[in-house]
Amino acid sequence: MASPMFSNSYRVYGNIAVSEHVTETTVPIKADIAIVALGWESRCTALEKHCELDVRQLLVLDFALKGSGSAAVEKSRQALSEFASRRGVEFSELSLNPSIDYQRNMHTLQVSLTEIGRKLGTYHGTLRRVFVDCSTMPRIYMQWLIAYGLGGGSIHAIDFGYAEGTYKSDGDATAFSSQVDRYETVPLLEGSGGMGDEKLLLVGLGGDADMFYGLVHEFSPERVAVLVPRSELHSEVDSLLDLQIAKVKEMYRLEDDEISDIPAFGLASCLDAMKAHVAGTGKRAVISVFVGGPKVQAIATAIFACSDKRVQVKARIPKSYPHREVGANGRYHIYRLIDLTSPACSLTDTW
Amino acid sequence: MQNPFGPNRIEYESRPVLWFSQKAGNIAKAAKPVFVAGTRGSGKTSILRSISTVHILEDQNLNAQTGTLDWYGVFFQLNETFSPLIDNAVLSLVPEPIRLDPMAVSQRQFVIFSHYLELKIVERLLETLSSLRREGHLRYSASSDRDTALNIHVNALHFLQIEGKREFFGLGELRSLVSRHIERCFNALFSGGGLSNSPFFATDPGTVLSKVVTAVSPLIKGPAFADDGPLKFKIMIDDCEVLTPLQQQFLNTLVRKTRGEVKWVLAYIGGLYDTIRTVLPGQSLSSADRDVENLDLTSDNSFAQLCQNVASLRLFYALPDSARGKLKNGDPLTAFSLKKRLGILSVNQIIDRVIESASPESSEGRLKLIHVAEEAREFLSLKLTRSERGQLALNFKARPYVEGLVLNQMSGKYRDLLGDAVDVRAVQRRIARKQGWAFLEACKILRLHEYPYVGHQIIMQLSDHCIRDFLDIMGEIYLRVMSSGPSLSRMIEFINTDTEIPIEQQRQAVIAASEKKVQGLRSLAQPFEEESVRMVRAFGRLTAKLQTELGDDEPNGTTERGLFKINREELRAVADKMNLSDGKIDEVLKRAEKDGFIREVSDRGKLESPDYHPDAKEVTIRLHHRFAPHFRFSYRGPYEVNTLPAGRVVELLMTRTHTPEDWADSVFRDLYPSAEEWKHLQGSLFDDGKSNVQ
Repeated sequence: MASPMFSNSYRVYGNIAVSEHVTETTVPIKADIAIVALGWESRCTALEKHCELDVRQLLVLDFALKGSGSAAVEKSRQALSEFASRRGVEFSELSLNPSIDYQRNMHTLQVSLTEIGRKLGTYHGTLRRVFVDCSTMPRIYMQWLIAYGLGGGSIHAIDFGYAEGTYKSDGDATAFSSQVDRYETVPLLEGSGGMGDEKLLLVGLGGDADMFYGLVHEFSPERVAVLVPRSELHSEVDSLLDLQIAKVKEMYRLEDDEISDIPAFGLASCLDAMKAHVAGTGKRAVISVFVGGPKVQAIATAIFACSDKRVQVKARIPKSYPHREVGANGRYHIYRLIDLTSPACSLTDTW
Repeated sequence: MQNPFGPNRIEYESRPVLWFSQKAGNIAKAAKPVFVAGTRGSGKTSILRSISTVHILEDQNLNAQTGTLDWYGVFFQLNETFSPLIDNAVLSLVPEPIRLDPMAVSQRQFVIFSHYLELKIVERLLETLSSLRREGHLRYSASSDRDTALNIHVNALHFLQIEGKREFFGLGELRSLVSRHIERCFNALFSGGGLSNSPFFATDPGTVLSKVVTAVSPLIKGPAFADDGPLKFKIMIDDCEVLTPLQQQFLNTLVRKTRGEVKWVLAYIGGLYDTIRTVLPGQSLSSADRDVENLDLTSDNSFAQLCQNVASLRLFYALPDSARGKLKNGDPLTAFSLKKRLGILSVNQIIDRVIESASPESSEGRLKLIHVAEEAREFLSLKLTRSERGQLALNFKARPYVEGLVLNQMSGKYRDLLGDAVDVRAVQRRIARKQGWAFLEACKILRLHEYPYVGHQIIMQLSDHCIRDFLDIMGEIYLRVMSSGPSLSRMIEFINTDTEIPIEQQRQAVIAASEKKVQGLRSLAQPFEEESVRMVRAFGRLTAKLQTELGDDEPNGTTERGLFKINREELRAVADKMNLSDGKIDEVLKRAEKDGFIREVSDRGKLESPDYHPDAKEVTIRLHHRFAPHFRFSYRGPYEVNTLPAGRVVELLMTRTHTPEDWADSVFRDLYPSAEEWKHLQGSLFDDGKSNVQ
């Protein structure tokens, strides 16, 4: 069943075709399974308002939140389970380690997804399309999933759903800052393997822009470019960004063209901006990309890295996540990714 | 128009201006491997790039400087992804049964490390050959291309499968086989493919590289290359500090093992790389195996020379080609004269200028200083003969303020002792030693809020052997000179002029640059390292106090304090006792050094000694000179050491009960209690340690 909303414009980056759509009502989604990361933010259940899901299983990833005893988490769990039964979909939970133990979790995920593919996959025992609500999913898992699924050919198409959040303006900038423990390279997106002959850093700023500084000193890049997500929806986020940009510009003497505004929730525009910044860079450059802004940036970085061998994707391993309630503001984005090298993409209802 | 000193890393530029320095020339010509150590921004990357053949042949300017090449350079930069990649590969490549045998595992690790590194180097080497041939720099025939490729394949890379016809095989095809092999074998490992399905083929470390180099070296003939004697292959690896300690030993072992014309050039941040150990039992690297170039140890003169060249080059190339004809001096290295523009100013001259331009509020201090200086002039002219005065090298362009302050500071007794027979040399030495103190003292007397750290010498000192700091300061100066908006004609004037940039503009620029460094530190520290900020704030305050508040009583009155010694063993013991992680403080120090906030001086010049190792018992550190204007301490290097008790360091960095400023004050009191406090501290015979006997 083709969704008419996606029929017009696809952009292609490397082997991945990309299309995006925003809705304030509902969208029909047909996929083999749907994956949601359990969270304390109420927007992790926003998909029930926006998606007419036609899937065989709803897989809920529980990053060891079971013991946390948080009422918000249990409420989300409950809501997701009810949503599944309302739609007549099998509900299943996957217990994982805490999200910072990402290597072990990815291994578990890989095994589980292969197993699920064998059971429920509609393309010769593999998953033909997976729907992922990434509103509350840590970026590193999204990036890995794209690399594993579309880069490695294990999944033929992925739809990401993302609910925009509402942020209270209590004027406290530190609320946006989670402590960085260390930076790691996302597995499967390691780029050129640790050796090159120049270093570039692309940073997608987020509200949590403080981390930018540590990053530059960590990687000691020779050139820096900054992407600034603009939405004009949250004035406090915008003013925070302006503040950070002023500081960043002053400190690293960045020229104006090294800082570019991009629409906060646009996938293709983010990819185009990244491509523009690395144009003219040498063949053996090492391009590190780190994003802290809206989740769409994380999707863009993974696609970008799949399409360009020089790119390695960096992720931040935080000391802790601040437990903060973020509700959905009613706008829901769907980002559709299709692996063009997969024979499954030629089936008519892929697009 | 962009600030030519703007981006504070040369590498930021799209078309970096590379300069083939004498140091680079020496490294290129060295017959031994060279290890290049230096702090961030000391110019390691630029030196290495300026030796890389591809960079040279792509850049006419650079090529003109190097002349014909008797080496072939391949340049690499490691990055932080490298180490974990290798470690992950090792995890999946070591068979289960031997995982518990550490010796076997480390041998295996070494094989994997070297295999990967060598193949990467071979891949790049072959790639550069093909591209240089395409551009006409190399002129080997198609048949030698094929023969060499087949020869390498048979002798060194036989584990690669040649696909297609052997007649059409060549170095380009060989390169893609290598690339594909690396990808298949290592990427499979990184993604957890495991041993069973990996085509990994162990080779003896060092042999692949040696064989390939021997095979390709006859091909390197062309107008750019010297044709007498064998060519040296410079394998340059930048940023080696990202390797783990064990991997550093692997690399050292490779350096030790590769013979023939392969000459490694490794660059790293000083102190973060093990230059001695290898994994061969009983063998370490000594000066017979490699030279160590420490860029931080360059003499003041050669650093000043570097600054002159870099400043002039940058300005020269910032001008559009057409405008360069308007320069009085058309040589890119000397068009701009740094010394003339910043001015060779003695401390006396600086103080003189300040006094001349001072506002009336400071008139009291002004009169006092003038008085002091006039007295000194009188005293000296009475006591000294004309020739002795000549020896003192008094600069009579300005009043002898420094001399006056120094003489005033000597106790009356000492002055009397001078009597008729003045020991000119002693006075001379004293005056030379006291320049920094006198500068601070004069500023204090004049009640300046911002001290005039200006002139060529002081700005060189403040840059602290770091070209990036120098560029930052110059960037600020340029900004102020061009305050009415940059234009081509103003820029040409900036280069052509021979007179000093007004010291007021210099002063503001230097202060701004210092503030920026402090600010940079703050914002950098926000997510990460509160400790660095605390350390810099505390040490800054303490240094300033040590240098200015002890001026009067003779034994303590040196301005040269500001080195701090920390005993690491004690530190560990204290941290242990308090259940704090003992590696944390080391990490903080390392990071602060890496970021150019502090300098470690303890092992200076001892890098070569075999007992140097990174776990030295003591470290001696000082703050970077560029902080001097902010904290108002001397622009000269300190050389008197104060030991900081381990407990105090833990207090500053870990337990953090006081503000850094309070901490500095209390440490200062501990180190140099005032006379009054001495009484308190004097142990009483009746003091049982509990009751207060005061």
